[in-house]
Amino acid sequence: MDFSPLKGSELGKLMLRSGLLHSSWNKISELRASRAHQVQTPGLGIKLFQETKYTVAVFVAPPINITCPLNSASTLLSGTEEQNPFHFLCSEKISSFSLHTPAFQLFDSAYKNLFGLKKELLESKKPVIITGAALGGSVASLFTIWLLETVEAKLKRPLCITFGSPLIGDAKLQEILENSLRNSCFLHVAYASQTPMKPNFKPFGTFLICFDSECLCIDDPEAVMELLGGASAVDQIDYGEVLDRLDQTVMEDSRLMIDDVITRMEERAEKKKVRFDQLKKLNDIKISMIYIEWYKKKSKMSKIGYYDRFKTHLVSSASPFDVDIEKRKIEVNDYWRSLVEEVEKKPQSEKSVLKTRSLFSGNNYRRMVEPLDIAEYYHNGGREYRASGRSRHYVMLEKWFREAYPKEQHRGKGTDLSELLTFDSCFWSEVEDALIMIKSLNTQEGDREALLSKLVRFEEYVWEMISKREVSPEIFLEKSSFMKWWKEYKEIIKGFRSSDFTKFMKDRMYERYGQAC
Amino acid sequence: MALDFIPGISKALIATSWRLSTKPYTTNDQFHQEVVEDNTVVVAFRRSFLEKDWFAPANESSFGETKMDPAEFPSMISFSNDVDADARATVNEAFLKSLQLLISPSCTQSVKTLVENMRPRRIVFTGHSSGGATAILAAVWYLETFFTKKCSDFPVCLTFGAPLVGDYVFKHGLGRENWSRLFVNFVTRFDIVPRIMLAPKASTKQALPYALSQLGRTRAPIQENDQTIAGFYATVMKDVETAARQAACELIDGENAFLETFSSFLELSPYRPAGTFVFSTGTRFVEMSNSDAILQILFYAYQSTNEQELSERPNQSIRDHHGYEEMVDSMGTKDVYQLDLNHFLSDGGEYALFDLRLSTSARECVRAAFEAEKKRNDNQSKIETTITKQSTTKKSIEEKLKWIEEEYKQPRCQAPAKGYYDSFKESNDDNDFKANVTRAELAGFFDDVLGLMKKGQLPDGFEGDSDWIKLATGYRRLMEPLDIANYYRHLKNEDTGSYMGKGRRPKRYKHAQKLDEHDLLKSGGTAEKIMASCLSICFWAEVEDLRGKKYDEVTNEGTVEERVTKLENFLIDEKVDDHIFLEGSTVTKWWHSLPEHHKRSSLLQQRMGYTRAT
Repeated sequence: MDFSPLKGSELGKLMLRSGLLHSSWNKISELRASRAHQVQTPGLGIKLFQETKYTVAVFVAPPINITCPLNSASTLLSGTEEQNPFHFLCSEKISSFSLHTPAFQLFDSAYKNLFGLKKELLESKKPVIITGAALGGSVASLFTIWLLETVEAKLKRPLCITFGSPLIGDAKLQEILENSLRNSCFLHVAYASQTPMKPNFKPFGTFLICFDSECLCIDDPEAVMELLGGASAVDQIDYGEVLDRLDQTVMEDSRLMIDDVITRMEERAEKKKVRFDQLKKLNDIKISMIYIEWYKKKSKMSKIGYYDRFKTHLVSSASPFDVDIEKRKIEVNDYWRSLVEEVEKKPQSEKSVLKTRSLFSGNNYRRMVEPLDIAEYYHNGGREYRASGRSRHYVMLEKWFREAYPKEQHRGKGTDLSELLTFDSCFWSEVEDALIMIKSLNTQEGDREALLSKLVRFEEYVWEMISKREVSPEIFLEKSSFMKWWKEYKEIIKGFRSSDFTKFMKDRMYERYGQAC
Repeated sequence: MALDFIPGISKALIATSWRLSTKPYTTNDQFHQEVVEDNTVVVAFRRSFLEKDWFAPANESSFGETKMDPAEFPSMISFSNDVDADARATVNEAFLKSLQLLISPSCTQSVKTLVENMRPRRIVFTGHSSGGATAILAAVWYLETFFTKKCSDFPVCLTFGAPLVGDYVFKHGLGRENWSRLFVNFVTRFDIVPRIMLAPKASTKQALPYALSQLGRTRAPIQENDQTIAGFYATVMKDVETAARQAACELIDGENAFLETFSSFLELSPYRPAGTFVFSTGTRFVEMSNSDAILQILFYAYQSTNEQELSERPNQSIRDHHGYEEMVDSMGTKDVYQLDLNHFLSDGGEYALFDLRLSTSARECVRAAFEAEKKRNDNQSKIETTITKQSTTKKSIEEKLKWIEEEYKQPRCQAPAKGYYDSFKESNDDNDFKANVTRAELAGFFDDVLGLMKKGQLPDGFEGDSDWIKLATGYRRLMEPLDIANYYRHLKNEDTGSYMGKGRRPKRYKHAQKLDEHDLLKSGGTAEKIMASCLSICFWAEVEDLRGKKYDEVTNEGTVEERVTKLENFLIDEKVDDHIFLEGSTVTKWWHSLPEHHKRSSLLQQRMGYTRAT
């Protein structure tokens, strides 16, 4: 994440001296030479080389026609799997991106062949290198992205090495990849003065930028754009020569005079780091959760329940403890909101980044804190929270949890539920809406029948949760809003409705609800 | 400056070691021995220039490496690398085999018998070339076998032009046990042998037997322009370069995902320098013990940008491999420069590195190695401050533990209370809440420290420090019951299963337990004692798990009946705290809920104040 000039040059030397670049370039030259005598070779040439330690897939494409109007055109990709082969890259935030048209067309035209190649490479026991020069490198990049549909930290990742290839995607593609492990699979070798830049395109991956007697390895897209540019004679560069020349000079001490670029790069790295450090307060968040948990316990002891205590203190003056809890609520909300935002940026195929442990603590947080947000919402005069007042991060946390655990474990029959958090974190908003309905009924506003049937539906909703033991026993505390609702509801249905629920309530069976056997 | 890097090692002793290391063998013996000075025995191991003694013939791994057996080498592991599976040290199999031959009971000339007879004299293990590698492993074996904390006369290992033997974990283990200081490796500037193990077998295979035979010839110099030899040296150095450059990149930015991807395509040697290295640079000696910096020096000190110089390297190298006589002779007359963190920070190693003619970027790589060391030291002092010193806003770790022990635990562990476990689980008063916050604060601290250990961002010795082990063990014993209580209070067992199940128990406790177990093992603890040390805390989780089960149920861990009996036996045999049996404690409540027929024959009857129902 930090940048230092030493890192750029040492990484560069490692790349150069590793031998991987030379051997990739040699294979490209070999394949190009073998195709040269064929009269016309439109389309793509692909060849697999089985080395002792790895497999190399080489892509060769016809030269880029610089006068071709297509050269700077881009194709917008969006929609479903059928419309977009890179569908899996889309995230909750970014649903479309654009690709360099000539590269995409070549990729698309060879789709069938590539499909077989993908299968073969995914089954390869040896690590895989995918390489190509100029437009061939662009297709190699596209193919690598496609190959990386499933990427996991523990799996061996392929490496894509391109030489003097034009940029293939727009800023959105870069943004998607920046938040993905996939970004670590690309090494673009580019000769500084002879790699053309296209407007609206943005580099991704790592670049080895070659100068006459120096090279620099960087992954900052802005700096890459500053350093590349110039004429467009892409196809004529013999990277074999470039590499040989650099190889000779690599042990000598010389320094690039690009201090201003480096300074700007360091500033950007610093900013990014600050942003990253802010997120690292997980333990403070845990401590705040303990305070909120204690607040809940204290409220229960005073027979009100933390939901109603929070609601009440919003109205009347609050103790320092209440004020502190309000502050802590904001703190944990900020934490989870930004965490959810980070996850939303990840391509959908990488969402398992939210680890099991975070999934559970996120779920716990939602059930503990969302009621407080609901209290605030109704205090401010809101209605129908679930449909129109809910913060997106709660929706996402619930969705991800449901995806990972479609069926949540039922609480055992003998389990003590006193510390249980109501499964449905929007429970209190249902209570509030029911209270509003009762108010309407009492003031004789609206359609009485419709309101009544809604209230009955609410009753059924509560009864189902009670029978499944999914609701906290705290809702039955004397001063709770739920009990307030029950008292009024009891009067309304008097004489014409009885059910398991009404019996449960009238017979005060709830007093034993949730106790351990 | 004198040779003061190892107290009590005189110039004469080094000279004797060298002489003995190169003394010819007339029989099948594998080592020479000699009692010197008043109380020291020098054991020198035989060197070999046969390929099979450098790379075990049947070994198929790229660098001829194998894992060390923790039964034989219990310290040669990393506890923090992966808490769930100990990372065992990797060493060269051929070298390990040559040691194993010497310590096996069937061996006619056994090192084992020798050292047993020679104790309590101090032993110096020594050797030249591959003999040095055997000496290193023999010294480690000796330390593992005979050196519990009580011993005082530590052995010493002196090697001359020895190849690298073990990996990062090997080096880390020596550092954790505070043994690194006992290993001193003398290396002449161009000697290829300390560099050979950085090259994969495959790249040198063809030329290796010949190159070794050339190294073995002490008299006749090799022919100029020997292409095989030139090619061999060039290949080895190319691989040394890759290893050094990759290591430098990791020092500069260890969390770079691209570097990780790229490195997986390189054949990187697992071997790393361990112990102290003394390089001779021509006019002086440079003594270093920073493993990362030594690796950089191994590469850069050989390099040259001059073609002519490079072509002379193979000859120089072969000469240097036998040049230790001269090095030993000049000891006492030449300066010894300690290139350590302090010196480096004060003058950039200018003085020491002068003779090696390192380029600016080479120096920057060496600097990166020292900066990483400085960062490790800084991390350590930061932790130590947090442990003992109270800041204006926060209590120190020690204060927090003291509060839990004295103000929280003790009052709750006397009748009529229920014990601190159950008090915490119910959490009804302000102090329970306060204890919960303290629990989380302590967890944060220990998690952070473990995170640093895992990333290698603390000195190797930190984990082995007895104060740290004491603190971590005390923390685990006092606080883990509260974490277990918290786990079951929130019904996490219904979401994700037992506290002891895979991935549930916090790593900070697993790690603290490992350190404690290792400490017990080193001080001669029996396997039972070590087992009990773990159970004495975790039985709470077992009680909680059994509470939810029927007596006749069968679980993955055996029938409930068996588990109950096992737990009861533990509670009887071990000296568990009395508060566990207080009325209202989870243990007591659980036991009374067991079926009558079980209780009637249970050994816990008395403890539980059971009277037979009539």
